[in-house]
Amino acid sequence: MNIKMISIQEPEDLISIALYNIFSKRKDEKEFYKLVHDWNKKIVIYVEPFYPVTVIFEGDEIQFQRGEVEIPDLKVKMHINAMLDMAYERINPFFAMEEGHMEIEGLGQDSSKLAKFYSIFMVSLQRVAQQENQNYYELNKKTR
Amino acid sequence: MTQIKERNIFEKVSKEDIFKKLVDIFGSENVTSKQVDLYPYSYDMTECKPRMPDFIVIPENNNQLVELVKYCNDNQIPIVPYITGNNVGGLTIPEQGGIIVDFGKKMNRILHINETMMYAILEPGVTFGQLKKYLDENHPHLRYSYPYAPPYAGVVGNAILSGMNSLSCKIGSMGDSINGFEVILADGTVARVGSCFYGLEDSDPDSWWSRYPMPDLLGLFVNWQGTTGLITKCAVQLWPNDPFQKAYVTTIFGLTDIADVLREVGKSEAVDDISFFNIQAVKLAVELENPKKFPGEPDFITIMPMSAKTEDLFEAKKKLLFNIIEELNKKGKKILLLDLDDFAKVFDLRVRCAYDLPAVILPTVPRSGLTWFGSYAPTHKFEELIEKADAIFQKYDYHSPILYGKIMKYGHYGIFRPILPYNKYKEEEYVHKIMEEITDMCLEAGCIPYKTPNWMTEKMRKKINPGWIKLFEKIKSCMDPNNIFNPGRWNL
Repeated sequence: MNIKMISIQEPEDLISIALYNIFSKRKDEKEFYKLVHDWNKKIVIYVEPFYPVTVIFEGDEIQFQRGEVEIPDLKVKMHINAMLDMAYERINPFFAMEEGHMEIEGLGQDSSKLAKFYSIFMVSLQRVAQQENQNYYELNKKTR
Repeated sequence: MTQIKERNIFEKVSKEDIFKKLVDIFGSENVTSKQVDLYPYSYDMTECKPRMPDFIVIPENNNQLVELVKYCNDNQIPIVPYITGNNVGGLTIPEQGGIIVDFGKKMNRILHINETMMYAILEPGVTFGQLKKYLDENHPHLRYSYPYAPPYAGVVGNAILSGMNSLSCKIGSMGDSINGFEVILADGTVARVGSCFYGLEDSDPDSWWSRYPMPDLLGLFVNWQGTTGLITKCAVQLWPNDPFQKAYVTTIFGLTDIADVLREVGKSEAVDDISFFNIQAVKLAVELENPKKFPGEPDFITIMPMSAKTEDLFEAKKKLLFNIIEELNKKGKKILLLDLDDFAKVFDLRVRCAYDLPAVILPTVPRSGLTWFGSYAPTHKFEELIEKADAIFQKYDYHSPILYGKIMKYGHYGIFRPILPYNKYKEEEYVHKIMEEITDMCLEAGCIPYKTPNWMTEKMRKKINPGWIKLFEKIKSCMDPNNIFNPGRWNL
């Protein structure tokens, strides 16, 4: 039986490394595959005070590009503190939007875009935050 | 590179006779002269030239070592102390051959812990991992100060070479935390220095609590790289393991702005330690082989473990730290202060490995070799040092440039350490060329390297005043007239 999974490009810049870390924890999940597969969107994630990264969802792949593409499908801007507060569920993402801690451009009439972004990014972010901060020696104990 | 002086160690006595004598002293299972056994002791991770020892011995007690030292002194045979050989400076490569004394295998006992005066008496082979485990299990309210080094690194070696650890912002050099030694001198005399000097024969284990106020004879051994005697016991200070502990991280944008952060946070007395890493080092830790810095990324990250006895005290320290960063940002710096645990998990930075035992130097994992210019540095020169070291790395288009440093003793001095992971046997010439240029630049700025390889000591000697050299050499010839203790180190 073929296991379908998402392929994620290994990036070289700090913010893309963080995004890679966030997405890669779920890349083998069926539910994640269903969400990402053929979404075919370009989402700009701008974590301040760093720099924007365009996350390209295409087919079964996720790729990262430093900077913003000209016409993204969605642009999400938040300060690193807001991102961490949402990750650790200290603030609710919808409350963060209302209070201006997270700005989203490009929603238009398509509300499903936001729901999908939430399921892909925010859920993954919170999942990473729930894990223990492991020391190197505690990682991959079974395969070491 | 420094020319190694050739020495015929078999002038007075044959190799066979030496082997027989060593077997008499240590037993046949604790002596070897087989090439296959000698080889791992002939090199380390640096580009320093390898050299085979002639024998390895594994001691179990002082009596054996006294006999060995007397024999070696009579016959002018070099003795090189060894624990795990993971120093970065070629310190246990036997420059003139001879006998390697491997303390790591059997002389690795934690002999005594004094809870009241907070110290431990250790044999030379005790490792950081071993001491931490022992304290956690038996004396959980005490801690030692742990280095950014593997858990199998030796505690005594780190202390007598003035290493710097995870409490260095508070306590400074680990050399300062030594209370006393037991040491075998060249004629076989066993001397105890420090407050343990009372007692005509054995010492009271509860007497190893200070190095003052008698003349500080510890200075005859600290930082001499084993060239003045063979240390067999060492008392090191321990510290309260405060119940409130947490670490913070800052990201700093701007190549030289890190210097102000280090100095201001350092002197605040808020943190136990403040270490900085450039962004390339952070990326090496997540296994990027040839890391680059991209626009918009911070230049440096600092890690700042903090501790306090009460929650209120911890909150006060935290507030102080936040205020300092806020003030610096008001002055135009761009610094982000974050909870390290929050940040590390989301960014997968594994920074716990940098301040929490068992540590692992992740940035060095992808390469087989490692070399550095590790130095004590004047903190007012941090900007100049960072700028110039960065320029040298760029000039050579170096693949894994690491800049690392610390503030010591609340800012009385600092640590500046450009680190170069490299491919051993393939890039040694290339990496050495960069190291030479970095060394010249740092010496010019007044840095004082520690755990120095010989080629570096040779450069230092050209800058040191002749009076110091004369005194230094006089002491060496008085302490070790036949030059048996780790000969060649410090170009002696």
